[in-house]
Amino acid sequence: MGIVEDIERRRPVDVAAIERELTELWKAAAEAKDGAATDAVMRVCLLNLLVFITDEARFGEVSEVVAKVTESAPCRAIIMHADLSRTATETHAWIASHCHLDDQMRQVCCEEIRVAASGSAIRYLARTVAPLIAPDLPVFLWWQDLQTLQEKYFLDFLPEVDRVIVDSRGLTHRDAQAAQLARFVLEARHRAAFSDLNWTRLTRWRDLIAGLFDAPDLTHYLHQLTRVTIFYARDEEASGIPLQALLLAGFFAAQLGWTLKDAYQVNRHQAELRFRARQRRVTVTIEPQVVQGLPQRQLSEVVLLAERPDMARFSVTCHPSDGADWLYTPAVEISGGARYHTTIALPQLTEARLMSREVEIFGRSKPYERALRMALDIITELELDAQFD
Amino acid sequence: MANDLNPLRAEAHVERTPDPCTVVIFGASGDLAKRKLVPALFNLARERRLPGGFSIVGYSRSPMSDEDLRALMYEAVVRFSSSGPPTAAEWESFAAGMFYCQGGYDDVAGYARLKARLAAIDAERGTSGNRIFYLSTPPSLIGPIMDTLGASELARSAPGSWTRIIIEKPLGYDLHTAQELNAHISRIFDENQVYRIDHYRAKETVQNIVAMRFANGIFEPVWNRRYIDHVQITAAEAVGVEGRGGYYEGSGAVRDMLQNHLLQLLALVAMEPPTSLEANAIRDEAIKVAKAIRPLAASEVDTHAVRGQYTAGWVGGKAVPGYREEEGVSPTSTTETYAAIRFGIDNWRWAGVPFFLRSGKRMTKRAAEIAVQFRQVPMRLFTTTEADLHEPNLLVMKIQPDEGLTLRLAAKLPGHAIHLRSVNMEFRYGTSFGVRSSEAYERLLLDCMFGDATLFTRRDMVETGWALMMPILNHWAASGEHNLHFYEAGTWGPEAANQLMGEGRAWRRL
Repeated sequence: MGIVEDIERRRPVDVAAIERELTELWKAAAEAKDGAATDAVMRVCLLNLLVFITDEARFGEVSEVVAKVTESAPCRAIIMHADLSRTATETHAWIASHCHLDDQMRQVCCEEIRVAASGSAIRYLARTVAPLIAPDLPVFLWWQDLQTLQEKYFLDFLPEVDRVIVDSRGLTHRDAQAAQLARFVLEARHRAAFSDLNWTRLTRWRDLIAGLFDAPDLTHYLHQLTRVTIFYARDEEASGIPLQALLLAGFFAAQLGWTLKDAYQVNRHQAELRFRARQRRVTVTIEPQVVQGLPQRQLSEVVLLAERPDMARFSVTCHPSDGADWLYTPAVEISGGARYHTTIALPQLTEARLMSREVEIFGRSKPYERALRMALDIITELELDAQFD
Repeated sequence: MANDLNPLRAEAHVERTPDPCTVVIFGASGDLAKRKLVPALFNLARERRLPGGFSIVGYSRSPMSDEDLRALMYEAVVRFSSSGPPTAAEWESFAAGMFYCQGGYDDVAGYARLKARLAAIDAERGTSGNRIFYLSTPPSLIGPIMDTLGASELARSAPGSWTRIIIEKPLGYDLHTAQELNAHISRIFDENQVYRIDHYRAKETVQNIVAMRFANGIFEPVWNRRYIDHVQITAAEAVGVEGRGGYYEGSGAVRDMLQNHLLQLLALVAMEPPTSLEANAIRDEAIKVAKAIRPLAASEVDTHAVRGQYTAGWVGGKAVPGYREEEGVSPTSTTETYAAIRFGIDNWRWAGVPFFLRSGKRMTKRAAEIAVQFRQVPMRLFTTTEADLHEPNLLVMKIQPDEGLTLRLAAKLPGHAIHLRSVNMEFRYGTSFGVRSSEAYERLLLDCMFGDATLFTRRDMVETGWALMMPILNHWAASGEHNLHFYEAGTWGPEAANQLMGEGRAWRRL
């Protein structure tokens, strides 16, 4: 698996004739193989993956991501570039293919269509692309520009797609886009479901933390938690609490039925959130940690404490390994009881890996929406606190 | 299920983990533990499917320390894990839950030590008294192990915890011994504690049979005698007995493959829709159809079953010896290395539709599949020339080596004249879902931890399987060499098997 080969890179085509050109491309690919049936190219398509970019330099990176995604989810990819700096109304298209070898060393190929638009053509991008979507298959739209979510040319896509994927990576509660994104996702009545790669980055954290409480003997501690600390890799440059950490705090609160009482910033990088749970208070602290080898603002450790009736400590720590993986260590320490930890090596969260995960999911994610709603409440509370200061 | 109470599991990628538990492997120093069981458990740990505190205790007669077992299993995991070798950190945490206990299989003192060790693990690692006993031992040891587990009070669970036992095939040598074994098991364990392994059932395509039949509306209306001509179920191996001649002499193709694996496949293909996916709902339907299979009378065996034995030949580019020349095999052996049987099912859905089962060693290649051959269209409108080589529709569920589905259709060749050819629509797991399928043992071990017995064989299925095979085995045993057909290694089996098929039908070349 994993051998990527371009049969024909960036073959320019007439937009109106893309389907015909694709047929020609596959015919040429099959003829190029010129041999036994076992050598034939297999064209497979499970879904449509639309990608919107505004930076032409991203074409290559996105194409690499698409190539990786096709290994686990063969798809028709349509990469759209909107050149916002040019006023001339133009549309150009290219076709290419992504091929990899499957476990039987057969060549499995998927097609990539690139569309570049400028001027007024951007406004009609959805009209240009809609006929190119393979019918009867799910449509995923990876929208890489958070600033254009209110634009008509984005909104025109919503009836055409099943799932919109954005990425709030790097945003903190101080970025206006963070709250705007949350409101847009939560308040509008979209046919399409929304998801955020920043939420997907939390998936393994959620899995590992949930796993700490699966044992029937330990599940009850979820309802006795009193203190949660979410650590993230420090970023000296940035100011504000990373949205990713807020999403995780929001997830805990929403899933465990906590009510937000107040939230304040301890300093530029640290916040304390106070919740009320049934019969007790829960304090969530989000604070930076100096960690070598992890991307800035990525979560590095989560510690959950239940201080009564006996002390129970649950934690998941992430640290880099000698190789390419990250090591995650979930640990349980019950005073006077069980103490154990496990260490699991998991690959780094590249965009390709995240997207491969994203295209497995259909429909709305209730936990995401609940976590986002709570994160928005926390942001609002932090903003209020800042105003009083 | 306790995990359903964990609100943090909502829409998690890894659905849930089983209750904390300890797997005790009897025969820990043996081949199965090294090649399959511990690598499978390691892969599950790596995929975050195991509970925190999960522990393994190896038990065998060999003197060994915990560290010795860990070193032995490290080598095994490096060599046999399908997800690649462990990193130092992964192994350190996995091995921390691995322990060894030495003792004889009927040694009460040894089991007392095992019991004490398990109690200590419960306290230190929170495994809550939940245990799986995996009998990775020769069949002769199953009885003594179960008896000693019973006598040591290890077969019963403490309140709030569970104890399960996994037993490998062979599950008896014939109907009588299978009944005896089951009676023995039931004196010590309840049936719901017993998990009889059938690793064939855990293969992705085998599970997909149920999904394909009952999640797609297009198949069920044609899944009956009106549209289906016959069904072929094949498990062909290119290998011979691989140094296990002694074992195989007492087994043969029917006992090794048909009585269990192929009969299970037949049941999944032919059963009625279950009322749910709960283990007993599926197993109830499977046993119903197995009981509807018409047993062969002794007088029918020669016309409905063929046995064969391979002679020297050529496989995989090299010369191979005949079965009687293999190590541990009698030069006058009549053990069948190939068997083909034609069964009928006496129910409304399948009356008159033959089911052909075949399995053999040293065949042309390794392949396992279920082929559902549909009837010809009622009027052959398009047959105008001999060039029209289309055949009736065929649905093939491939089990190995590459798992997937193929549907054969007739299509018109391009051109003015109407000429037809058969074309295949293919779905392959490896191509469409570029992810590693779980190894059968991973799936089975995890299911057992969850208490899900769907993929395990129930007592009544084992005994029904034997009951169907006994007339055939008895007839062959009484026939000497009379109906033993020899076939050259590297071929598709004896010519006599073709005669089973009847007019207008033929075994598929895979």
